[in-house]
Amino acid sequence: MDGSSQRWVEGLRAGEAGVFDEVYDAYRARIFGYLLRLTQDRALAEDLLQETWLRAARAARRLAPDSRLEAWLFRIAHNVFVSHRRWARVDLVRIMALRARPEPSGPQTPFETHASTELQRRLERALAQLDVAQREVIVLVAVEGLEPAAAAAVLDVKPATLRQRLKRARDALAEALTDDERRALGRAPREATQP
Amino acid sequence: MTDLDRDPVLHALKSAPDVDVDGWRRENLRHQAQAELRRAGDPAPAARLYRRVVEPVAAALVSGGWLLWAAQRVLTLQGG
Repeated sequence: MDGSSQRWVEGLRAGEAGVFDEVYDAYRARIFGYLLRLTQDRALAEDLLQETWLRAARAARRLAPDSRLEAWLFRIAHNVFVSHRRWARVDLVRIMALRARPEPSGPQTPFETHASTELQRRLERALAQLDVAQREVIVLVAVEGLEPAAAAAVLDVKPATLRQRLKRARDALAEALTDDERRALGRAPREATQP
Repeated sequence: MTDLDRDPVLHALKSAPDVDVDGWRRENLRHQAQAELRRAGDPAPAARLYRRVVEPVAAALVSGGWLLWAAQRVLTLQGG
């Protein structure tokens, strides 16, 4: 754990408002990006972001002294997302709303809108097409740069499970790209990788 | 450099620009979370109830008792 993270953990445990602000500024956009890529819906991601930070504020004083702050925050966000999905499954109104929600093949996802290059846009589209578990592991490890052990703690899975899931997710992502896109990214086209 | 770092697809994803919430929502959420942080630091409900209700009532009763005693004393002295 680096110095500022240790200081932040101690500050949160003491309920220091200034430290909470620093943590909020450091992690807000990352947590939002994570939730946005999972939900593909800006309004929903904003609601889940709010719940994540409220839960973090409530739990801050109970944070263990040796906690890894980054993993702790992503774990809260993951739990908020999982709770939302569980709840949405039994809520008919939400199910109907979800059905009415456009598929990723429709209008652009928020990250596609913000992509700076066409290739990045297509990559975001390919990521959006993965199932949510695969998308989540790619976002945590590849985009957010969490160590595999920390990502496994966030998802509450064994490190070996995480490695398998990550491998499958990377394969699925590569599969979702066209040969041209793979070439543009410096990866071998699909036919060249066939045994 | 790990296998993950060398993967150009993952590298391209990692370099995507950040997307953040709008400024007003950002500040609104900050205030809500700060309020929650303060609330979480407050004493437990029973202790809060004791501090807000029981203590002032007890204090009022005690001071009321003293006032009553003082008034009786004054009346006694006047009558005496």
